[in-house]
Amino acid sequence: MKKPITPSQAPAAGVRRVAVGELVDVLCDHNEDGERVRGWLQGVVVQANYKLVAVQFLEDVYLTDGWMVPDRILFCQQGADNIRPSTRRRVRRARARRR
Amino acid sequence: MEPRTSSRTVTRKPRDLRPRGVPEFAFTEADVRQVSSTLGEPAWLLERRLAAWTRYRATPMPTLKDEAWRRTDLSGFPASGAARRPAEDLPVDRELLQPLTGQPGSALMVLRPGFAPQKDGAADQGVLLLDWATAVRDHPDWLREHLGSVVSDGEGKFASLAAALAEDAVVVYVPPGIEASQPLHSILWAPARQGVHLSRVLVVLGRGSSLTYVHEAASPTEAAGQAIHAGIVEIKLDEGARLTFVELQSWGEHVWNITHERARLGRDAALNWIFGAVGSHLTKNFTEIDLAGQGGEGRMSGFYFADGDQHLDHDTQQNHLAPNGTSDLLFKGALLDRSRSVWQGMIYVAPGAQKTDGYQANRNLVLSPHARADSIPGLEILADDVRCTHGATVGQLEAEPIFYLMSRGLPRREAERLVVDGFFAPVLERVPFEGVRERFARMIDMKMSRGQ
Repeated sequence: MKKPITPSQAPAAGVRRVAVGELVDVLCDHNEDGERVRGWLQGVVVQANYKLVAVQFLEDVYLTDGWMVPDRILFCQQGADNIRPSTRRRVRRARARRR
Repeated sequence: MEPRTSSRTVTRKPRDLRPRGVPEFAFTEADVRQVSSTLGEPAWLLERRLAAWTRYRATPMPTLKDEAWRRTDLSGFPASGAARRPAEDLPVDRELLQPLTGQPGSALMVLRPGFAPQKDGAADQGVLLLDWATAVRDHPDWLREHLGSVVSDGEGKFASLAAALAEDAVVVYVPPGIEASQPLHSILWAPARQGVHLSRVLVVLGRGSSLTYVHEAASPTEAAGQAIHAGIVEIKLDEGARLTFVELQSWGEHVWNITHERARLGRDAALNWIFGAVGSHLTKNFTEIDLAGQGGEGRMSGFYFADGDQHLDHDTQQNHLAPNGTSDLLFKGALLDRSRSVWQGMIYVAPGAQKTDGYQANRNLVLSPHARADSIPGLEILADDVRCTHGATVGQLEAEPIFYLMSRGLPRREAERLVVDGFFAPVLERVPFEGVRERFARMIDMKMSRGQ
């Protein structure tokens, strides 16, 4: 059964909120051409509520103090500056070759 | 070899409870007469003002020796030399003008001491939203019947002062059977570096009527100033009436704010009273709900957030005076810097008020080692078939949820902000208006960003 939304969980007007399944770009630390950089990286929203968004990446992502996030999931606040709808189509990762 | 012992002397300084002199105002009876004559009031109203003035004179300034003021020190109260003066001519903060509970166009009244009240929009047919002068001129008999019927002029030193000298007031009346679809909104806007502002709010709902009403009191902070506001809020709900009352306080942080507020509920009446307090240098707020009729329902939800050297003191009372009444109070507050909060609550159940269901809870989040929260719940039950519960907590930010959020890439500031949001969520969930919730969220943002 769908969980009823309580009044304070209703989205505030004027904030663009993302939903599960959407492709988003997140400003985070990741690897690019073998170097660790801070930039926009595409991921997919795997969980979202009125306040927080969990984004799953295909590549390794890192906290700003250098630690890798083992399951490659970062949280962002809905409507924050470091998350935006992705402007690119899904980036396909090369399939592993069958043995 | 003798064991090594370390000796440490702990000295505890006793709290200084000696009553320090709280200065008196320099007002005179001539001021009372002048206020009444300027407003063109009838003789009975002048008499009432003079009676309140006599009570004011007879009541000493509260000190730390008075039980209700034991935790709120008025020793620096800037009364001596403080005079009534008009507010400064600053435009009303635009955010205050935003409709909080409904669509634009609903009735709005802005009171600015020393200026003519500004009215905008229209109330529903039959619903009155009046300033003081209009109420005195057009509805004197009604005013005579209701004014001071809920909060008496002798309620306390500052209630007497407001009753004697208040010049600004909002008067709201909903006739019996009218269910107002448009909310009412009033703003007391009093920008001033110094001076005393006194105000009244009188709300009366007739039998079976309903209303949503928002009242805000605000001013910008004046770094070098010290101003005073004292006010009375009276609410009277007749049988079966329903009121949602949102009261927001964002006085400048140089304002000493003292108010006496009470709602009296008739049989089967219901009140949903929502408080938000973020402003003032010091606030002492007496708030009471009297469930005077059988089956009354009173709900109070309070939100406060203090920083700097703010001192917010809320004294609440849920008086069950008749059987089958329900009261439910939740106050939540956060404190930064050297701020302090006091919440003192009481559920009183009168003899014969059987089947009462009373609840009160106060939760505090102390965000600085120098802040302090005092939380004192109380029950006084004189009936034998009741259910009354209470709870009070004072806690700090927990490291674990902060760490968890940070391990997901959120900066510490955002993580703390989220945990603070989560702390306030239960009280925000009780607020049925998105605009009010958003205002509270902005207040949290503002305080948290100042606290970084």
